[in-house]
Amino acid sequence: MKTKIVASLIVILISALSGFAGEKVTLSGYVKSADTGEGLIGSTVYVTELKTGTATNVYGFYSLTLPKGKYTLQYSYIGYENTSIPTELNSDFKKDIELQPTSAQMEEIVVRGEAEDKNIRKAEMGVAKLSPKEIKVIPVILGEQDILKTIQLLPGISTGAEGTTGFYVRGGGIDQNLIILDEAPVYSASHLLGFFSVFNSDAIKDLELYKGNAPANYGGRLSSILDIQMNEGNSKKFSTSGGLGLLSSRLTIESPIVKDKGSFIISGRRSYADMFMVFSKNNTQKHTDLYFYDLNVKANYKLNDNNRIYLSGYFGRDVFNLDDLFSLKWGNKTGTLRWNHVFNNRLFLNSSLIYSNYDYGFGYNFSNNMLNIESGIRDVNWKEDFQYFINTNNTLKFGFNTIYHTYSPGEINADNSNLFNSFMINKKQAYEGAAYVSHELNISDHIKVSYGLRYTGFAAVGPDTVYTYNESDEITNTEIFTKESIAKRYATLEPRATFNYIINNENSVKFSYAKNAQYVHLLSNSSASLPTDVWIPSSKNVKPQIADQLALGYFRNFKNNMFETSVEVYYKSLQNQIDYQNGAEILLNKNVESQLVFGKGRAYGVELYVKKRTGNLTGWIGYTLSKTEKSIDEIEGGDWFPAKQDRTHDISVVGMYQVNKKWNLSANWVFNTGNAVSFPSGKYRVDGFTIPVYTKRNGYRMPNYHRLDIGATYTPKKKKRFESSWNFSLYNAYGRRNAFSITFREKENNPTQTEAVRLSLFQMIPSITYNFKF
Amino acid sequence: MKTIKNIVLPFCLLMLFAACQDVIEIDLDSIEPKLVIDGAVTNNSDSIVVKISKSTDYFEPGIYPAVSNARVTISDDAGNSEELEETSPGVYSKNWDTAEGVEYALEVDVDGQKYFASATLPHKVSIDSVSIEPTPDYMEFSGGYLINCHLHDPAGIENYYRLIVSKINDSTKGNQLIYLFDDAFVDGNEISMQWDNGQFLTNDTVIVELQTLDESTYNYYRTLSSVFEGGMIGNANPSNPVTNLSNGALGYFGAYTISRDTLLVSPEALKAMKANAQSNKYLTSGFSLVSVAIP
Repeated sequence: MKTKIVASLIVILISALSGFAGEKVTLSGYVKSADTGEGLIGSTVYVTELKTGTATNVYGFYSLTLPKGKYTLQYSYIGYENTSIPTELNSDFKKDIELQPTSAQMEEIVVRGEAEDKNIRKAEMGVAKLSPKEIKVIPVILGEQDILKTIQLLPGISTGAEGTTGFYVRGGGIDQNLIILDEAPVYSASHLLGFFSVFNSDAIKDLELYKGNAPANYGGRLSSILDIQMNEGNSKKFSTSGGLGLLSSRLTIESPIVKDKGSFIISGRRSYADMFMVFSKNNTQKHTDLYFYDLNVKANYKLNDNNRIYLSGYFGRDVFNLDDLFSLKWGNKTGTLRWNHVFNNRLFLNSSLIYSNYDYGFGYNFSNNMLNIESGIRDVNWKEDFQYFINTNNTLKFGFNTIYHTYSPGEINADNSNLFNSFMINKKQAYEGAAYVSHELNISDHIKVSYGLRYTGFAAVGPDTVYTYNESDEITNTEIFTKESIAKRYATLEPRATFNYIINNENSVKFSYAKNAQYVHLLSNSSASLPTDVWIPSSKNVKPQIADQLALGYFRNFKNNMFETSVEVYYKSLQNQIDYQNGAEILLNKNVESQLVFGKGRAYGVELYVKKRTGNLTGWIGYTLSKTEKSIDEIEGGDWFPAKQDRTHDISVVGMYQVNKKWNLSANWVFNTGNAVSFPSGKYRVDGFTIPVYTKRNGYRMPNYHRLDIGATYTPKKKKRFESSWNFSLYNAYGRRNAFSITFREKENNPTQTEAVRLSLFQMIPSITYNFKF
Repeated sequence: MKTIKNIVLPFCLLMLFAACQDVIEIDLDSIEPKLVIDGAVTNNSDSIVVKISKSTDYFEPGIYPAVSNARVTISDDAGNSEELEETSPGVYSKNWDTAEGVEYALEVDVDGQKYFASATLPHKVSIDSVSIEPTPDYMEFSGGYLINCHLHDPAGIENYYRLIVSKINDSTKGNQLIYLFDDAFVDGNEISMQWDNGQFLTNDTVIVELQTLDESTYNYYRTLSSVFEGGMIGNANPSNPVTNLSNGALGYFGAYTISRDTLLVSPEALKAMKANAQSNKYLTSGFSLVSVAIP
């Protein structure tokens, strides 16, 4: 198997390399912002004479290989002045370009830009992008700008529970999304039990979400990859920015280390709801902590023209202490060390060392001792990614990575207590590796192809004790593995391909196929994201989840790319999907694997998208019609039943209107079919209790959900170096009582009768946020 | 679990001062009535009683049709077998001297449809003592006393317990609070369960009942409690409790032993306890991960 893959990789390499032997020279360099010195991701370099070009990578690097000659090169990026440079190419050379921002308005976050018709031309589909500027003005609850909530307004991406940051992509589960921040996985992206995401938008430069069609350099999850890049820091001048909101405040400091050579950024955020507790009369509330904080740090330094080093880290934590009685805490720590090396004009290498740690736990007090129950997951990842810019028609990416995972499913720590027997579920360890090659090929002006192959392997290693269970969950066999011995191995070959047929400048048709494998799984038996959810690795009993996705799309732009529209249809088939036995015990269960049942899934749908990109009024309408189902032998004999996240209709309408230089108005409206849920159909009485009878899994629907949010941003005139803005928003403006949950109970005054109770959370929540920069 | 959901969520929602609850109308399907069997073997009674009824639609008034003329047979692993007599519509009983450690089997025949179940009457674990302490000021109620129940868990055996505390002469389920716990983390230890879900006042006579459950009975109660668990946010995958009955019957055939103690709540009782104060370690009900108060 392995030799075959190596052979096919070599074939791809050779075919990519052949056909370029003539008298060609290479121009390469970085495209940066003249304002901050940060590399501009995806800015275009266009050769006017040849009507061809390239785009910069995530570090702002580009490389163009052309026949010798005189050319006019156009560098462009949205929000920046186009720059045309006549160039005579006789030999290989380097050219770094700095682009000037177009206007004097608040540009602390670089507006994302690409070639205006990139959606037509590029051989990629199922990609969702948002500019940080859009994130700034779209209204959100309590004025906390939140990338995870804003991406949920795009078609194919739907919201988990109301107001929370968990999301479903094309019918996939919440754990089927890989969220990476500067390449480091963030296992739990939520604060305050899911109502806010851990991403402080001041520290975010760029984000991209692939809906299951990611190129071969990404992998590890079935449904989506959300790739988030942190800001690098201003390498031109010292600057400070921040904001004051109802829930939290933010402060960011950025500065050059050595001007134009290196910079750093430190960005922090903390909530302060608990500070009001000091005024509480209740003694317990007075001693309650309830807060979260985030700290993003990043530094980069250019050693020389060919070498640059980046170090970035994220530290975030949620703390909830109820006096000394009860505590709940969780947090992520990530760190990424990257080294960009330019071998020659065409070969770019990024080497990364990545660390990610997520821990979660809760504590109880008894007899003045705190008893803590702790779980966690830790990854160490080494990654090498090459990018080879062969010529304007061929770009090759290849690389590999290897991750060492450590899982701690649960441990009880009690200090000074002989009441509790110590208890610990064995740690689990695993290696996960991947090697890939991905080729972007322009066959002609009309046909572009991006294809690749990713080979992933997974090995669960000792020390571990592996049980085999029979149908009644009894242990029938026990195997003990020593340190570093392999308990179970899996491997998956994941082909990916996207074909783009460009009909003309305004029309294209795309088709894609991708296979993805996932070796980690989240067990959750609750509808909110609680820190009691458990991550487990694949093992002898838990096979990797596999998905095959086919998608077909038609893309059309109108009016000189002012309007961008697309229709995409997808079909996804999923294997080894995890569900739970009736009455499953997940938390602190040594035999948790015996509580799981496995089956298959399928998801299909159509996504419509219309976006107005330019003008005073911008925004989009997204509509998704979809179906998501599961089939599990142990549940209703294997009949297909709707997955919890099955949503027939999902609509978002987003509008932003620039009234004048000072005022910007925005609004968004969302509508979706209620989630599939299990409600009781009957009831009976046993042992004095009235007990509901459940018949079909997820056979009922929550009521339809809809909501309007409105917002306004006021930006007073800039004074010297000081800029500020006010953001006002109203969440759920018409006060719709959307059901967060529906529960059933006996009537208080008449216990023989039963009733349904709706819990609705947010109605008309106003907020105000003040932002500044100097 | 209970504590997390019941404390944290309302707390966070309160923080966002935005939650609201109301009763709504929804349509639920009508289903074919299902057979319900409600029977248990205990050490506390000289007879075995099995009730047979049918389920109704969810929003119907709670009148459950009794099932008469069933053949109900109990047998044990010593070879004894008896048919129960219908003493009132849907209620079947027979005198029987139960014994600890014996497995009992139930067979029910309703119009030719047969249902089976079996359960073992566990060895009894007795209450060592019960005690009271003033309600601490962090509770949502105050001015009364909390009840503690002390027991010694036998080592090396998996034990499953249910604790019911109620005021004497008050048998309404709504006023009882029921805890369910196992000895997974406390095997062989002195266990003190603190009743922190409700308080009692001076001159209340409190009955503390400790039940030692058969595993299948525990699983039924545990999964039953998860139906009610989750409070306002609801359970993600609610399902029917796990029963030991065959053939799709609802309900359970349980087996448990009972140990009871009674206590008169008074300041004097508290003083007396303080006088011989022993180790003051309480396993609060909230700890036991499966413990749940059934509303």
